[in-house]
Amino acid sequence: MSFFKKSPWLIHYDGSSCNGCDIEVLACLTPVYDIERFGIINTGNPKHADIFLITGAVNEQNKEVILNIYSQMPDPKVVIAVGACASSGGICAEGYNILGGVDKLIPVDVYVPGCAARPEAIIDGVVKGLEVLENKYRNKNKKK
Amino acid sequence: MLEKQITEEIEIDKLFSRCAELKFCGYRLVQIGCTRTVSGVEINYSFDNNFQFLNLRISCEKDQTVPSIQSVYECAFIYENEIAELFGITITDMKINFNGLLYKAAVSTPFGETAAETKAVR
Amino acid sequence: MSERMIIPFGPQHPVLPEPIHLSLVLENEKVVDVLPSIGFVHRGLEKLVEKKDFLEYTFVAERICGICSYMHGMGYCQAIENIMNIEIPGRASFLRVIGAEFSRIHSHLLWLGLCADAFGFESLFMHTWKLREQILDLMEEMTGGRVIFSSVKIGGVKKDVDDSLLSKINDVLLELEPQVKEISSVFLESITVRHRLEGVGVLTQDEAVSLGAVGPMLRASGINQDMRKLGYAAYAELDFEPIIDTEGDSMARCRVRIKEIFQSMDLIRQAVAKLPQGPIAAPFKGNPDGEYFSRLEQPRGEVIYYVKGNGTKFLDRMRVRTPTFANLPALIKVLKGCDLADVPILILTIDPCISCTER
Repeated sequence: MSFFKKSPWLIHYDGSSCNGCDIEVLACLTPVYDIERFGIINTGNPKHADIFLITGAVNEQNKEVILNIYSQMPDPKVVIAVGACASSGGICAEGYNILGGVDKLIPVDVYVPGCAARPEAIIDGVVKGLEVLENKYRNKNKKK
Repeated sequence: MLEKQITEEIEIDKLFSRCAELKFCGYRLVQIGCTRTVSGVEINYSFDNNFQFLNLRISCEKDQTVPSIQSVYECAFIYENEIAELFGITITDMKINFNGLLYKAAVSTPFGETAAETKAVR
Repeated sequence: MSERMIIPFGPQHPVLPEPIHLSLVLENEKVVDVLPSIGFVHRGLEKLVEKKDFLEYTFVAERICGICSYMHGMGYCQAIENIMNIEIPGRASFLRVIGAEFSRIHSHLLWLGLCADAFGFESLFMHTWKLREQILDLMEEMTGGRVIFSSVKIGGVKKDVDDSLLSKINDVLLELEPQVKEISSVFLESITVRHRLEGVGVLTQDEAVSLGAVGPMLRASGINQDMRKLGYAAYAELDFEPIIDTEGDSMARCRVRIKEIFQSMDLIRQAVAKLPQGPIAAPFKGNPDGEYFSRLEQPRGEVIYYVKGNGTKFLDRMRVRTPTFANLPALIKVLKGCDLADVPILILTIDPCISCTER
């Protein structure tokens, strides 16, 4: 568990997920799971976000969109691949339009397993991501 | 539980007039779907009128063109564009034509090759 | 001042969790034309039948969409069962009805929440999704999954339900019903909500028919059409009437969906009461040879599964026409002439499921 003082904001993008992981990501934000109580907010603006949650595999069309969002996020940033498809392509890896997991395109820090990933697992993944984010902050400050 | 499903095999040039007849009888267009056959494709035009399911089937060789039925059933445009893009079938006189930009898939006409060609590759 | 300009909407947009891109052609604040471009979620699942055999494909079919995954599995299995002449046991068909109606409740509650979010009523969104969790808990107990179940298999279902769970289902529904009534009164009576929904995006009866709309979109425009009346699974033995509305605006679609939540609760109670004893799956052997169009009513409308087998393990063709695909022409129609600020809510009123649409 990290001792990060700041509350990270996250941005969610649906690669080519089947909605299963998407609604679980949304379910994390709503009562019962409610990660907003930790100050984590789902934002629609990449420039406000520290954590990039991606569900679903990368395909030819959304490649650009993912790169676009990723490059707009301020450094340091953390990428979390939620679910089997985002991690490796999952069940649709053999589809003609699928390039594979998110790591084919951008560096991924945390992989969340599951098809669909359970909200508990997603929250765990976000907490892991916080640790990574904290380390990245430390390293950045050291360099200065 | 089995629903009665009638399939009528018709010629390509009868397609338009038959669709107009069905429209007049109050049938709604349920879907247009395409299946690869040994030497080309068969296209299923499914209709429904008060739970009566009717299916028109045309078979189309690889270099044949199919007339658009958009002027009879407006909503056919989305199915016709899908077929044109994924199967590489030429559909003539489409009122709304995406010119292959509906899916923009990584592979052009992923369902393009006939069943015989796929077997040869296997 | 009537210069035209194009505003891109999506693919990453705060209102929709899913990517769809629309180019909105505007004249001042009015939308005059819409050009949809889909394909961000296109995975090519229909072509996977060449690589996965027909038993494995059940799992792929469920993953066409995570919201109505239960009914996707059911539609695919029904098509195969009809081709192979498998008679599924009575208990299995009643369990399928229970699972399908749970999916409908959860999908409609999900929609109500997203709809509230689209017009900026954040607390209503949170409240609706809180109620939805109770249904998901029941689903999990019944099938083992929250959104992807893999519970329906060819020949029946995988998991039986015991008596204690059946009485729990009744208890939870009894508790949930007044809570859903409470939030639905906010949707139906609150002036804020009515202001955003009434008279917005009217689709007349003729337009709905000629544009091939399906599901709540069609029923809200006064057409009585519900595929459950075909009597697949155990619907022939249950008593229900399709819910229709005549206004055809966004409010009417909202009303239809809210009423369908209560209808589904009623159907589940009927199914629980009539649930016969017996096996939950029928054995079968061989490979499918033949073709069939299987039709179901999903939360978003009619879905068609076309399966063509050739007597081997691998199917010749599996095609699915999903409800959102059929509703796209109607969406384009209602968007033309609306205000720019109403675009998000209008997109939501068709209850879009992009991953279904693009497969």
